[in-house]
Amino acid sequence: MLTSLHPGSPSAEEVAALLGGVRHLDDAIDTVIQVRIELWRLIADSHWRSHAVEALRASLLERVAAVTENCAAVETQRSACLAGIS
Amino acid sequence: MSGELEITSGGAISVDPEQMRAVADRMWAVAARLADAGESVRRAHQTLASTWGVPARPDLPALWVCGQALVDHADELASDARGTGIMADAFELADLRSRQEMLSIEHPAEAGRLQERIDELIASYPELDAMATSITAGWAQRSQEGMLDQWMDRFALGAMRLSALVPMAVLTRMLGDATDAAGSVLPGKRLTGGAPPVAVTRVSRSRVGGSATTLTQLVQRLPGGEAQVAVEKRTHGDGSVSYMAYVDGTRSLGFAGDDPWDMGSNWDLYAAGEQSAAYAATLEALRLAGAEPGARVDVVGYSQGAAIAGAVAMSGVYETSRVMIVGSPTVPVLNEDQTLIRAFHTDDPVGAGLSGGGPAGATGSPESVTISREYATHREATSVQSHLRDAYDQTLELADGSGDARVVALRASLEAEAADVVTVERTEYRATRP
Repeated sequence: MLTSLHPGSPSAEEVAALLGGVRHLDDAIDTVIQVRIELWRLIADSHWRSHAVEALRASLLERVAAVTENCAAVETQRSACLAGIS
Repeated sequence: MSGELEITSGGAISVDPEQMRAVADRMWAVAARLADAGESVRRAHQTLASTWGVPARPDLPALWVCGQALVDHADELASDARGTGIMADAFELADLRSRQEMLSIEHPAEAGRLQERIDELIASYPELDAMATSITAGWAQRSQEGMLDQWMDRFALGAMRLSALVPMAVLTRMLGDATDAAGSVLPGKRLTGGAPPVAVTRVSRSRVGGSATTLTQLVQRLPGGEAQVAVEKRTHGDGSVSYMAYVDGTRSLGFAGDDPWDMGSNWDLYAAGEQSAAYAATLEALRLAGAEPGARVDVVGYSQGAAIAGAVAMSGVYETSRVMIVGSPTVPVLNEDQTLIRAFHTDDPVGAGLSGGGPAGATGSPESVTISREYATHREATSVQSHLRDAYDQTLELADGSGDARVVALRASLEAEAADVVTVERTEYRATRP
């Protein structure tokens, strides 16, 4: 069977790799979303008014912001993978 | 007013160590998941490495950086989790040492049994010993912050030392010499001596709309006017009865006058560890209200009334599961099924001065809280107002609105109790020496 490929189109192996990459990135995004939810729960549950805990909460809040940023970056790369397939 | 509100699980113990360890465990679990996410990104990077010829393809270097960042965050979170666990251990060590010190005098065997866990904690982390010492030292400093900082206080203290006025001399002696010995009422300590004679009469009786559901309401139900004690008889949905006693502070600076709420009673209870006339009058008011020995009696007290509240809780006469002490010259050491709510201003000459700041360790049930604040600003002449009821009303309002998990839980427990109460009959009593 003849398959016609547009110039610059990815090969079957490359499509498979892109799809594999998307699957791994989906796993990463799902996990990061769960991590963010659990970090917010930790912040909500750590409502002790104490200097030690306030420092801990501040650190957790910073962590949520950083993880959110990373999640957006992973989503950008996932979109690039999908653009490569289509 | 100046100070920031501090709420701890008792003394220097900011958060109950077990609850802090639970947070650390959850942080470990989140860190592991974050590491998984990083690994997924790395696997994606590896898989996508063969797509170099695809025109529209992901930015592989950026993807690598992203995966590495997630793994780094996971490592940092794991490190924070470890730090949180160590902090919990340090709080436990400080608490155990404080308990050991208090037990060592009258219960040396019990004090000795704590040593194994102390040794285990110290062996677990080399710096823990210094951390626990630092926590205790920090508390010792913070718990009397602002004490006698005002210029008038220093002047007045100097004058008091020269004064021949008996109450002032007593107060000076209490401030200067007696605090360490008498501030914390040691475990198992009972008042000695017989009950001094007092006459207790009913001043008023009324129906109250319900039980108090906030810390502010609890302190606002302390009696004023001529009554020194109020007892609320609460009838529950199942027909059972419980009592709340509200005991006010010193009314007279005299000794052995008509009013038992005087410096004489202060001295008997605080320094001599004997039944005072005011303590005896409180028990008599409870008896008149119908509280038999063994009845459920919770107590709220302010100043001298708080010392009485602590003594009632430690007496074992009643089943006392909640004690609230406000500006108290003493801090009772309670059993693990008794909740202590302690409010004090670090610059209150009575609440922090006479109590010596209170014990560094936690006392009572895990739900117990210590609420503290430096009340007076340094622009004021004296910190005497730090001991006043109005000042404590403000602090307890702040605590009620703080959102602190322990205060929220306490309020929920008060609300649950109030929902079960059908009627509240309040009787106020006035006591006199015959």
